[in-house]
Amino acid sequence: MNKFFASFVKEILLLIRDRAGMISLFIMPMILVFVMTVIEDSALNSTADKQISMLFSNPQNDSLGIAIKNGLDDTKAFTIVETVDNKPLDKQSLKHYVSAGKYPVGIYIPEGATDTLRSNTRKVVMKTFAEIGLTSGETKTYDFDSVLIDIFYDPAVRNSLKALVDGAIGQHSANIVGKMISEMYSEILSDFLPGDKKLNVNYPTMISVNKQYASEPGNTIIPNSTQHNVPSWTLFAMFFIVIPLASSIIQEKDGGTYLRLVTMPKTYITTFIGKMVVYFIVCLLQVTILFSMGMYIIPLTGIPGLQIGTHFDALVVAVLASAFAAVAFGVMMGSFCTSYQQAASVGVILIIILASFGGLWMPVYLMPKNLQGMLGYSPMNWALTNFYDLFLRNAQIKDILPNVYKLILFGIGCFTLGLAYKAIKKVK
Amino acid sequence: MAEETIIEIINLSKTYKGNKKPAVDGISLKIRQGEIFGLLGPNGAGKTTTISILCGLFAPGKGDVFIDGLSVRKDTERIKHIIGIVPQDIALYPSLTAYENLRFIGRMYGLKGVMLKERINMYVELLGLQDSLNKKISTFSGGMKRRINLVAGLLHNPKILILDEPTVGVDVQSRNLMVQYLKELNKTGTTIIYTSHYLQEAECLCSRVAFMDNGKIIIQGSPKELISKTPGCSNMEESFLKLTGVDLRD
Repeated sequence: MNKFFASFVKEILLLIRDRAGMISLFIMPMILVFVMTVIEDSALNSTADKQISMLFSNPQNDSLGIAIKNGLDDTKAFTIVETVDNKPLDKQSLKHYVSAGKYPVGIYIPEGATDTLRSNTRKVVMKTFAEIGLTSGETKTYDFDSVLIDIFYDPAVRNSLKALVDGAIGQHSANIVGKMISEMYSEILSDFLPGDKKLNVNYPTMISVNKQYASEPGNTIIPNSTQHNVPSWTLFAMFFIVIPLASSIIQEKDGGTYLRLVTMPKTYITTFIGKMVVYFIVCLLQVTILFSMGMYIIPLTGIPGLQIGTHFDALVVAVLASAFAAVAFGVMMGSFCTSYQQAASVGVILIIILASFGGLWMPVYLMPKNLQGMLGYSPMNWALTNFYDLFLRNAQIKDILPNVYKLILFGIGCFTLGLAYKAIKKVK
Repeated sequence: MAEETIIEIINLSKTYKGNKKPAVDGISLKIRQGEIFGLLGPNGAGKTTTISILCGLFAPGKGDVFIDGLSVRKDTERIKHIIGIVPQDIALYPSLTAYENLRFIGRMYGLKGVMLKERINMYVELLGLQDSLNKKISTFSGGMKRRINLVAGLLHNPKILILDEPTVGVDVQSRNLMVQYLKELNKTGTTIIYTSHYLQEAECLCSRVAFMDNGKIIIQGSPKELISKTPGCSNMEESFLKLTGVDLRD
């Protein structure tokens, strides 16, 4: 116990005197969690409306254009910009501003769009009536002049924004066409009614959408940027201890203290465990600090705070298992790597790969199917799934146990591999 | 000087994986209790490998080593209590103070409380470091680092002290203090095994020396015997060059 305590104190002293290490373990993760939460919150419009500026040119004040503009405006996802420097936009200037990267997207409504659309609609309706013999018009072919709406995208724009704009335009165009067809039917059918009676075909809203989160009764946690980002980037920070931990092991090897430690009686394993315990505590401190920041500091910016669910015991289990896996991974890296540079470069790349497969960078459902299958092999995914289950689904211990077991097995595997490799190197 | 053998190396060989040539090639040696034994040789001669096996850092390939009657193959942990090592590198934590380093090392040897404090104070005073006890190792001069490195190897009062080039890069004053202290320590019965490239220092300090080259012991005896066995040489450095050659070994 004396040896363990001595080793523990030594590691604490080494850690707190390493200013760069302390910054990378505590300050940088705080900045990372804060920045990522704020950025994603802005992107998801959970606190501020109309984040995406969109150029919109409708030179003839065409009613189709106005309808589309109003529809886009109603989504509250866009800020519609119709003049730049107090000058109205034409097709060329609109394209220029977008290609220059000043605006991510621009929409141009061509001249006579409504007239063309109305004409097309009339042709469709007339053809239909002619086919059933209600009118005597042409039943075979009609020439349609399709209304061509130009949408210009900045090449740097992500596909998600394109999908959002395309979807919004498609939806509002369909609504307008539907409305025109119904008006046309009403107008023509009115001719068959006696007297001055007018047919007025109106459609009510036939399909309503009830958007809600599939939460269990009693779970009032609402998913938001904080709920996703704080656990994600906290895990990233926890696994980042690989670098200072591996460096500490390598520095002992390089500096000769390893030689002294292995020549002391029954010492090396004790000092190794002392090192692990210190970094394990670092992980727990990281979680405490970063989750507290999510709960108490992030709400000061107007973003919803982190809610950790009601099963604190399960949260403790999830955190302990994640910390164990992160520390054991660091021990393995420290054993395998032969220089600080190697540990820093290989460690960072491995963490980024694990984070990618773990769903930290982007939601799992956006990944290609074949990559989604690999998620089952990332300890970060197991740990993140635990936190999501706890924070978004208010899970209990029994719900997270499968991933907890995986994390513990991963940790034992890393620790065993690291020590076995050291033993083999010693024999050689 | 007592005649009892405290270290017996029997036909010791060690070949590192990937190398065809052995680093240590069938050496046999007896070191008597209470002597200062110098293990000398050019770079790559096999000195550090031999010392590493004595310390239990790695197992012998062939042969065996007995330290105070204990085999390095079977009794590694017990041997670790008997020996103290002063590595070539400053094997201390630069960001910790001298006291914090020594307290950690002392506790690793099972020392604690008043005994540990007294032991630390005694050795730092003997090596002239009492005023620097609470300074970080990173602020020490080269000589001070070498001296505190020596203190770290002595804290548990080892029966055998193994020093791997302990005076590399230190000023004349520090070297003189260390050599004088090692002589005093030897008088108390501590057996000292010492490697160095400073042959004049070895000649002055060691009661017996062995020259190693290409993993083998090429000659051993007292410095005077070695000089007398190499005709035309008036000191150990001349003997050494005559026996090991003048070709560079890097």
